[in-house]
Amino acid sequence: MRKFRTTVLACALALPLLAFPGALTTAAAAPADASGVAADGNYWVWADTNRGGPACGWSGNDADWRTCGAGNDYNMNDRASSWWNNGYSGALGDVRVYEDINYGGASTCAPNGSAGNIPWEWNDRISSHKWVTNCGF
Amino acid sequence: MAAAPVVALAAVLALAGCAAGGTAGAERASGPERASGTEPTAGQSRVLARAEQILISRCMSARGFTYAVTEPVREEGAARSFPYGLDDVDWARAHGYGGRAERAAAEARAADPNQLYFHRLPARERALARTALMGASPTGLTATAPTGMTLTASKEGCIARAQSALYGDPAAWFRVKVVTMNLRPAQEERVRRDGRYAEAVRRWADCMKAAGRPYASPDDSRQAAAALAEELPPDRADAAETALAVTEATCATSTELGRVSRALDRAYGEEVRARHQDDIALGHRLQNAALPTAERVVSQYDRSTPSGGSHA
Repeated sequence: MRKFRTTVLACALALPLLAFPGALTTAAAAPADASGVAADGNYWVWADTNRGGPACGWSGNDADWRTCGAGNDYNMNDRASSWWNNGYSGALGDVRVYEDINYGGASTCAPNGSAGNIPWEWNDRISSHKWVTNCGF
Repeated sequence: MAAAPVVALAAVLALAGCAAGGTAGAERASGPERASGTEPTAGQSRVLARAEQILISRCMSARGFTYAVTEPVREEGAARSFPYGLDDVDWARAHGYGGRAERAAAEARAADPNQLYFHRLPARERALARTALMGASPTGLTATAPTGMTLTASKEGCIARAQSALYGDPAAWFRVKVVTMNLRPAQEERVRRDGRYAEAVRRWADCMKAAGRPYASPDDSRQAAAALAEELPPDRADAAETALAVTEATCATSTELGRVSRALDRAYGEEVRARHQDDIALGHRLQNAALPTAERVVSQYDRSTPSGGSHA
């Protein structure tokens, strides 16, 4: 929710992301249909409820949602209203989202395969996320 | 896949025995009614998690897809989080803010064999594999986390199937999982909103200012430490990050930020757990009832794959 001055770990985190250029999807290519288009193993968030509107998808962590990740300039910071964790992974398959950039402030966890609309307390507040195992480190 | 119905049946029987509080089969000699409320040990939790991955893997291969059984990433000594600010000077000296461990986890995810396999599949196959794993649409199961977030997931797919085989009731297990994995986030948020924490942070900020590090909160200093990685070459960034981390931890110790936040963390931890004690207790019962099945699944798997399978 709070805005910070600088971007963070992005350099380190962009590196593994580059391993899957195909997995990095642009906001324009927002998957309208949850059952097919977004089958990419990513953690997805949408600006509107029910997985609608502009979207960001990540295969890795992102400490700063002011851009969606490599190659996608959409600003999802404090905008997300729905999400879907469709990661294809046993270890580090859950996702922890944070109120602030750089994994700060309030947080909440979502297991692999789960989705949801973001309730009012959390709506337009989320700013970063990382993949975790059972909400741990 | 042939084993799955047997496993499912065993789990259902175990649960039936548990619910009735009566005598289960000879295999349950330890008795779910005795062990039921006890929190599983770390070792038992690992067996349960591993069994779930093995069952998912079997289910996926019966559907024509590959799903490797991987191990959680473990960073020796480095995997500690300090949600209220660093307060361990020795740890700070050794790990800085833990950026290295953080990068290792991110790299491990990128190198995960399941990720690699999935991304190599053609788009159509990927969609089918995803559906096989987690169902066509994430609806059917619903739970609300202690953080206020409401989550849904499918009852179909190999994740749900593996969890049903172990824990019996997919709706109950989904709720238990969502609730228990969000206890810590809920607890941490309560601490941060407490006036005593805010007051301790103010005194910590005075100490930081006196040390030439004028940050208003641990979130701000952590943010500044992360920015160093962008501004400096790696070796100098690590050294600068560590220096800041040590100052932060020293101030947290001398101003009692560490002591205050640990005390609040304990108190709110108890409060949050008390509020969700029914789901926590149900989780322990389901886990203890699933343990014999999980142990059988794991030992069977380890016998058939002498290397212990694929370890990420």
